[in-house]
Amino acid sequence: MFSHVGGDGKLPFAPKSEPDDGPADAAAYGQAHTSAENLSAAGHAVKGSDGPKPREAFNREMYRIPSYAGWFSWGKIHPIERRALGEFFDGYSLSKTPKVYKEYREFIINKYRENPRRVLTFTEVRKMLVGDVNLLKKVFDFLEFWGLINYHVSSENKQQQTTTTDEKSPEKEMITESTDIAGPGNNTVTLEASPQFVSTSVVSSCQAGESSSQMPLQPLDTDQSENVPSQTDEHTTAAAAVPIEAGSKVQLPHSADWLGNWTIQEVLRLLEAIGKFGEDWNRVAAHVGTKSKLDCVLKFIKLPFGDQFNSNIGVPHYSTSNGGAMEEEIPRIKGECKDTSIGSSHLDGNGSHEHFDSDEVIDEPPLKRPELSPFADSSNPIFAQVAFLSAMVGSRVAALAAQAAVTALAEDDPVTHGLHTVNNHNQATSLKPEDAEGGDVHSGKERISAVSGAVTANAKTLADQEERDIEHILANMIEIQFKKLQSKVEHYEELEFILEKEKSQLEKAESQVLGDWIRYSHYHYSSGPS
Amino acid sequence: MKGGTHHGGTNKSTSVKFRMPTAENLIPIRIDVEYEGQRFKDTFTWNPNESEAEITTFAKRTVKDLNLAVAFIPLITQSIQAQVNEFRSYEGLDMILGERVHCLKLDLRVNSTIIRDQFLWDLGNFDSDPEEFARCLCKDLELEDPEVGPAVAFAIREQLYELAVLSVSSGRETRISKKSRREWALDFSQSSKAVSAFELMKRTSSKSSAVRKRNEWDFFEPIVEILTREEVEALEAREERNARIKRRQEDKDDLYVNRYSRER
Repeated sequence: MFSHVGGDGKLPFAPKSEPDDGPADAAAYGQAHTSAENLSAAGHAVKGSDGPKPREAFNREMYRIPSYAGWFSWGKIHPIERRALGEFFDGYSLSKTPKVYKEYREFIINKYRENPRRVLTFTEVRKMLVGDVNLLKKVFDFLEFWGLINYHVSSENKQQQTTTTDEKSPEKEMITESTDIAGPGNNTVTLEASPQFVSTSVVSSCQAGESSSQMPLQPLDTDQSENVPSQTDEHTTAAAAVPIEAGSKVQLPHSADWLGNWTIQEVLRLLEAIGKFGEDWNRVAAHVGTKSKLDCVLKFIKLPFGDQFNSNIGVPHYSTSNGGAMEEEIPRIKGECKDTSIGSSHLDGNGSHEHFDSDEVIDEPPLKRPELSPFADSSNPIFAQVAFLSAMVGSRVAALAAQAAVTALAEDDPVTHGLHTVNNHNQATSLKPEDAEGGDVHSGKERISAVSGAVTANAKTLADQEERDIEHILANMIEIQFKKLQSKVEHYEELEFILEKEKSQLEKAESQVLGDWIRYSHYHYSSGPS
Repeated sequence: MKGGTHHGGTNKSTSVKFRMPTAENLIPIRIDVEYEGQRFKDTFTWNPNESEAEITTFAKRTVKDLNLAVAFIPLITQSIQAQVNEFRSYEGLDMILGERVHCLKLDLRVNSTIIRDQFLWDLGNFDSDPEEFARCLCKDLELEDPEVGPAVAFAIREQLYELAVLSVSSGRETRISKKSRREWALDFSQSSKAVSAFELMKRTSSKSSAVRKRNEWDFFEPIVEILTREEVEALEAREERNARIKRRQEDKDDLYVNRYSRER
């Protein structure tokens, strides 16, 4: 998208030498520019005494800014800037004025444009500007967010642009980028993945609210070869979504980077060890063998699902309508997950309860908790969430989740409790949930349908009850209205009655007065002419 | 902990109760305890609203992670508690609002990285974030050691804390610990140097500019040195020696003071 200078005055171009509006401290910028000519251009107030010069004399460079920053104008301050950096415009401080803001802004942008290829760091700039570094950082971040500085386009676009501009005459103009319309972000490839990611985060944030992370789920399969690709995919997705959400430009990590020099086996051993020993880094490091304690800790916190652990402090605090029985089930379920995922079978079901008080819980169990509560609530929108979640995770996890949910529903029956405990210790995979619906459900699908049947039944009864309640209330309301009307009518009847009485009294009085008057006039007349 | 009132929406609140002038109210804690020849030094930020039980838990965990003697647990707990209490004791006082720009300095060594830096920091900017600044610094300078960031943030927080205390307790006599006075060599005249950035921008030509003079650019630039192993070891040995000498000196001073005070 080409914007011509002559067309609209709002073109954000930048002359190579200093702008001639603003403070006259042009020399202060220290820009070593040879052109001493007094530049003026359309869209700017001409301060110099010269008239508008012919365009060929202008020595303008081309600077790319993204199309969503098209509002930017060199000489003016846009409402977006006013809103984002309000401190400069509220008049509280002598040192935070629009003029100062303009100076900061123009200095930073010019500094960047001295060499647009390299990334301008904040540390480089802050030494050259006077002011609170936090405030400067804010301005810097704002400019970077809007692509006015550090806007590095992908190489294909660059080539396209450079070919078109080389053909032009020495006069070059500002081109606004129309590639990244979706928002500040460098890599359009991962945009398809990100809506999925974002909606996951929406879903998970709607949940019990325990998990502060927004990472997609990562089932830890025993199949090692699957592990790395899925993790790296989701890591890059996560990393890509971060710039899109936060608006800052980060380089996407290559798929090998996050691993560092850790092999897959080492990572697995690390996770095993953490599952076994918790936060005892000495033993974890011993288990991993090849990595030091510090490395283990660093690696662990760098792992993509590390965030989930921070939110899981105090795992058993989990209030549901099912009561305390849920707490019992969580460690059992986790125990069973460990069995399936890690492959170590010597986990003590009871001991694991304390174990999970610590922070290191593999991400599967936290997944279960938010899923259990919806089933406890058993209301429709949550059911949709569950369906979504089960589509997201692998079938095994969904099966385990369904089993866990069925266990939750069946917890009324104490017999099934004992059965489950025994089962969990014996076998991991073949679990027979004996819920109210009965029947033996083995495959994940059947379990899910059984669970969904239970949920639907529950929902139906609740709905029926609601309907009845509503009818009852409605009837009450109508009755009350009737009563109101009735009392009003009675009231009016009373009034009528009283009025009638008054009327008759008045008539009597009237006739009396009339009679008196007749008598009086008669008397007067008879005794009149005398 | 804001105790100010709003006047008609045009003024900001007139006073704020004492707190760290940063976005998050975290105080810097410095531990330096000794037991049977073992010395444990550490610095970190702490949330002063944490319960006392948390302090003990933290101390226990630290001792366990670093394989220290069990006797360190009460020492660490007491140290943290004392510093938190000191912070608490200031909490009832009012802080002045408004722009107060100080020149913060960094001069620290973290493992093999030495950083020296200077920058302006507005004490009245309650949205400031030392951690973010430290993170940005490490990223821009491409420092690999992950311990540098927290150390820088801590150094900033420490200076902010001292300055905040000074600004709030000018009327009150404060007992700044002997250790801090000696080790940190804080320039107390800094409190009078709190200016508004506007004054800093003034230039001799009676025009003001937000851009610093060229000759000052190097002064406000961070200087980073990465030492080799030998240099680190040599430096550490020297520091140990200095510390020992200082400690002996302090003990002598204490003895002297005590003797005199007793005689009175």
